[in-house]
Amino acid sequence: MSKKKLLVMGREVIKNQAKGPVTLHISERLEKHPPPEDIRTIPRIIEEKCIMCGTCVKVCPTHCLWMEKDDKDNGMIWLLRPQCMWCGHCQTYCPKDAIHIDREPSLSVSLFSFNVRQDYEMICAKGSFKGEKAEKKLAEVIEEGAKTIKEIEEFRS
Amino acid sequence: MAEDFRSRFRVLTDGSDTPLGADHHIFIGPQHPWAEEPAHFIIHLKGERVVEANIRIGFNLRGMEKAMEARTWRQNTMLIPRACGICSAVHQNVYVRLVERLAGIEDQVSERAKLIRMFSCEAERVHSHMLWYGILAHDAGFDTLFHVTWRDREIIMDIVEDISGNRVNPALMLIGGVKRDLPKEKADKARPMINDLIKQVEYHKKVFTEETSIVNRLENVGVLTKEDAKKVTPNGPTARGSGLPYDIRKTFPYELYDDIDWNVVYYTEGDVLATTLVRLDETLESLRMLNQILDRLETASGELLQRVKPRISEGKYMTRAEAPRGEDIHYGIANGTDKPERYKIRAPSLGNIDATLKRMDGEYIADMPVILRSYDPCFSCTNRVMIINQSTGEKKIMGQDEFARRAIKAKKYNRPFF
Ligand code: SF4
Ligand code: SF4
Repeated sequence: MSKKKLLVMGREVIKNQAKGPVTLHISERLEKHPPPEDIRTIPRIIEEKCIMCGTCVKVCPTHCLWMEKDDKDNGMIWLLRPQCMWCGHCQTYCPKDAIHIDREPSLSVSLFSFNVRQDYEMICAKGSFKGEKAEKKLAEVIEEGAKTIKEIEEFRS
Repeated sequence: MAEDFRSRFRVLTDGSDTPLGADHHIFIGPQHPWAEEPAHFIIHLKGERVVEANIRIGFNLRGMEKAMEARTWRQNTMLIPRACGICSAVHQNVYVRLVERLAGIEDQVSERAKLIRMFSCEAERVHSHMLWYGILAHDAGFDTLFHVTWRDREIIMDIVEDISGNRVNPALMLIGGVKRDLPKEKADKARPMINDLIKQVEYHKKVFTEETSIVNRLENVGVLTKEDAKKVTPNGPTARGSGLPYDIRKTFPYELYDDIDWNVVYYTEGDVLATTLVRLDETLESLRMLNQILDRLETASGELLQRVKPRISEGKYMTRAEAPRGEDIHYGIANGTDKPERYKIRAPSLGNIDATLKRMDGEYIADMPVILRSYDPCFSCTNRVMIINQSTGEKKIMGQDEFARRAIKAKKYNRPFF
């Protein structure tokens, strides 16, 4: 190896020693490098704007939005969070611009965590569906999920 | 020609169709530390030299094409990028152009939307190529370069994330336009980052051409001459490394590729180093294109998204585009409803397998990792098959729940899954 190369290498080594590690701890990195302004996560519905047209449910590629309604002032939409792939289709095709995409990255708990309450979320409840009725329906859905998880647990054991 | 041809796609190996002279057989894959993805290579050796290499594909059954038939055209816009983890934007681009053509609105897409699409595709080419030559350095035993390239790759990932909201799956394109605008503030933020990256990639190129430890691993290894290349029909950078200057962006321009200033990169040597240099130069070329696109976006105008009816009228069409790995071909049949009748994806890696197997002939077994890496293998690219019960011919589409339930029953009552 030539002398010049050795010198170059030596300089690099000393420089890197002085600089310290390049890798950052995750918390440090998040501080210095926050997620971008427009990160796409799960959808949120502004209840006053929504007209219960059902477009968002129809265009959702993962079938993670569900809806129950009487008429345009009475209804609810709920979301299965682990299934949402943050694509933003519902936002694009909503005719009333009632949906905006959240910034809070909310990860699913696990693939089969059907019975975890936080996985289901009531994102829109209007009119008489508000309050108790919505709560009851949500509980029913979670119950359904619990059945599946029970079967899966049986399978695993 | 006929006697030249011996199919390299085979199941093997009871020894009945081993090539003459081979005394050892080495199996690489489907699970192997070299590969992140499943494919089964069978390498016949005489001593340390390869006599012939064969492959068996078909471990990655995903039934994506079948799944598309059950979804609407609009929903499929978000399913199709999942065909590949790295080149998602280009798959989406081919898809939306196909549907736009079928719906008859391909000339209504605005200039601005087209430029944003191109930005997404080129940014993807940059990060895909950088990922690839990083891994190549890793396979060649030069891990420092691997870390350096992957560190610099974060720059382009940040740009993509800032513009689209997602790191690797920008999913910006929609039938009739794009989802998001690329405003001036973001462009101004991206420009210095792109210029930084150009400097870094130039440095990577310097390492790849001057550092003897890596040049020795790649130079004159796995040579695919132009004549051979014409026989085994590679595409993308593999072909361009063997002196075939064929790039869909130039030969059959789509979007606005004929409007901006860029060159097709090609080398004539045909070895692994040549394909590497093709990708390095292409990265630089793409980065310069990104700058041009940002400049043009300042003045370009137009609606971002055209309204398209969910029902697509009857017809069939084929589109293609230059993916980072080669030529990506989609073919779709519409039947007048809002769902496709049939959809077919031919992704680039499949076209490159034969060429790569040809490269191996007569090489040392120790050079296998770099040669296998040379065509940027992506086996989710390679096959996409619907699951059919062979004995009964039964076809089934299952949801997640039913799948889980079936598995449970199969285990409980000890009976076959299908
Ligand atoms: S959120 Fe939008 S698309 Fe969904 S039901 Fe309400 S108005 Fe329709
Ligand atoms: S973001 Fe996509 S996956 Fe999630 S609810 Fe909206 S349409 Fe469905």
